[in-house]
Amino acid sequence: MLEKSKALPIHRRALAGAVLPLLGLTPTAARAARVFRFDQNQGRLEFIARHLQVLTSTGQFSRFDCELILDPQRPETARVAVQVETGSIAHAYPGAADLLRSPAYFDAARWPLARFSGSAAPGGRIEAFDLAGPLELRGVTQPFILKAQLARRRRDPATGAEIADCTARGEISRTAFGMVADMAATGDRVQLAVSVSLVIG
Amino acid sequence: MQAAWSVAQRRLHWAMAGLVFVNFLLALVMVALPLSALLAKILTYQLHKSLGLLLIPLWAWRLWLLWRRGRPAPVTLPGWQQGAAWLGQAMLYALLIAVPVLGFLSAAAAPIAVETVFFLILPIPHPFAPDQALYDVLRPLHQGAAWALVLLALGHGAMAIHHHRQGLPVLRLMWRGQ
Repeated sequence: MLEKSKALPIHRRALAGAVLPLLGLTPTAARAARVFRFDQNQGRLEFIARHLQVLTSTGQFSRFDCELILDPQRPETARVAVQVETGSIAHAYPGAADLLRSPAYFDAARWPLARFSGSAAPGGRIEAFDLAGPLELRGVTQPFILKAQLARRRRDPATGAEIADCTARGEISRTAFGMVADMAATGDRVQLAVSVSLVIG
Repeated sequence: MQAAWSVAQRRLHWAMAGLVFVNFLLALVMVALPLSALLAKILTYQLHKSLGLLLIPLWAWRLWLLWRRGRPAPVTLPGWQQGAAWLGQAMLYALLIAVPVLGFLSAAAAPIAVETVFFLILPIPHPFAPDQALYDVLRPLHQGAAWALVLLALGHGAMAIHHHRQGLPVLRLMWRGQ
């Protein structure tokens, strides 16, 4: 039984057949890289908006899938693919989720999925590496960078496995994706943040 | 015991009364505003929180003045009315601090986790992280206490007018100081 809060690597045999060749990983990298698949049950995907320059509000997506291929020794080979159901927005303020699903914002009925696929840039460290690639949202595709890090590496006292907290943050211009409502109240820049605990060793 | 309320005491009394009623009306408006009026909603929420926080130092100042300068001698009333007036004023003082404090704490506990920024200038740190269970307790307490404060203040004002019509100087003492 997998521990619910942590994303576990898929067995290496599962990688050998299909995933790794498609990703173009070298055999050396393939031996060390691990594929982590997680969703809303193990991780968290949030968006943070600014209001009037001084306030923030946070919402989240309650349905998403993420596949991260990561060799902790070689973060420059990392890849990520995320798919988000835009209709799964959850927000603590009553009515806010409906507003955000509406055509003025994510237009979830017309564009039910958002996608991001990114790969690491050379020179990154495991404490801080970038994942850059196209983000497709509301039918618009724009370049996007997730600034990722693997922090708090530690041993799980129960299993002895090595665990780390993986967080990644990026910022979009919502107007670039056609979300132009309430510009007086809500800023253009919106942060996207993913967090999950990974069993890395 | 002084002969009349001091100028500062009278100004504070009316300023706090005005703040309480304005903030109460603001609360009704901010909750009723639709999310389509997002800017107005955010502004009214922040103004409500700011005016509420302003009540806390004003309350402390008023209590300090009462302790330092005292109050005029009570007008002659039947014993039960004296007792009711004392109890009503004690409850007003208690609610005047309880309502803004409960409001601030419920803002801190609110799962929406929006900061409190005093008049959109000075960030006021929340004492704890958002907590749905705590919010479910604090929010109705704040609302209930606010309704009690407004109703009690209206009753307090109605009695002052009633005594004024009877020729007693309670309203004049607080309005003009003599």
